[in-house]
Amino acid sequence: MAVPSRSTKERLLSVLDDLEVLSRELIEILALSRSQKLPQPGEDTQILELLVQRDGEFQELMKVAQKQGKVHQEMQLLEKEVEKRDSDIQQLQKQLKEAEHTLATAVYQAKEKLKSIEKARKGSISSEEIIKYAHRISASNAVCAPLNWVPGDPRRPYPTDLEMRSGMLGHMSNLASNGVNGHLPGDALAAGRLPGMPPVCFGLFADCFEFELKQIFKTVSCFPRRFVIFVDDSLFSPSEITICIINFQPVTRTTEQNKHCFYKLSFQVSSGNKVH
Amino acid sequence: MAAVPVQQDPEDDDYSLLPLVHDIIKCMDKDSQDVHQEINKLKARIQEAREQISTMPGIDKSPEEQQQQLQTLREQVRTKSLLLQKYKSLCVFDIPKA
Repeated sequence: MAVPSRSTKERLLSVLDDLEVLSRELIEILALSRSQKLPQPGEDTQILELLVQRDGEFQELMKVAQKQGKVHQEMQLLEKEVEKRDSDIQQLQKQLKEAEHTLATAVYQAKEKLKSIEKARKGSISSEEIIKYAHRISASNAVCAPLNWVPGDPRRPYPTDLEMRSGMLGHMSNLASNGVNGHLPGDALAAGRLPGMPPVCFGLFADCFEFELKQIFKTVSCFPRRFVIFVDDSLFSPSEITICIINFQPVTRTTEQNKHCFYKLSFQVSSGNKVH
Repeated sequence: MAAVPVQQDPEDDDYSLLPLVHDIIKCMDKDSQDVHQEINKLKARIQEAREQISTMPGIDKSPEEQQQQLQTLREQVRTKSLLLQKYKSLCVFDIPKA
């Protein structure tokens, strides 16, 4: 087992102690020999030789110590360099982690988009079918009533029950009836008006008006014909409404940007009020 | 009698105590009264050397240990520099071939 070598400081102090002891002994021996006038052959010479040897060691060690001092300075500089490199590495590590996070997010979003694209590709509908359907609903009176429509006319002045219920408004109405979005008031259902609406689309319109009156909206738009109904909700309260569409009248309005064709509707309500 | 300076120049390589011992012996040979003064000079010089040793930097280790530590530090600086250089020169758009 290797014995750890002593430090330079310990060796220097040890040699210095030796020098002190040897020089004291030498002076004492010399002083004694002077006072007693007795020669001490050999002993003082031996001590002197040891003193010279230790003095040489001391000088060598002092040179080593000076060199070690310079090496120490170099080591301090290197330690500062190591600290600087450590700081740089930590900074780089932080930046790499941020980049990893950003890239992971981007990859996740890209995968989600690819999934959406694939889904859309699988459920694609040809444009021809959409155009055919548009022609079919436009050929009948499914989107608006004929201009000369009067009550009793068998031609339908509104979309059929099935079409209305399969549309977005129909879904919204179902959701509202189920209380999902809470727009339909509970007292309206309790009043039993909705089941009493003769055509279902009347009921749907009534649903819409329930929405409108509840939310104090003024306008209901039904695409694709910009089918607009103007309602003044101050004429009646929601609990009294029983609406029957009795007439359509086309109205053309030109704004700065567009020319719109509206249909002004006449309604008959249960209270006898007529609203234009 | 030669006067030996008590204050040792740090840059001076001569740290020998022998001149002081020599002066003491000369004074003793001459039965001079200055022998006590010379002895005090030697004592002061030894004390000064002790203080100097206690404040000298980097001598808490042996030269071998110090050299080993120096090599370790140099190696650390070299390794860390290479690592930094490697990561800084990485092209993020390089796609490794499968």
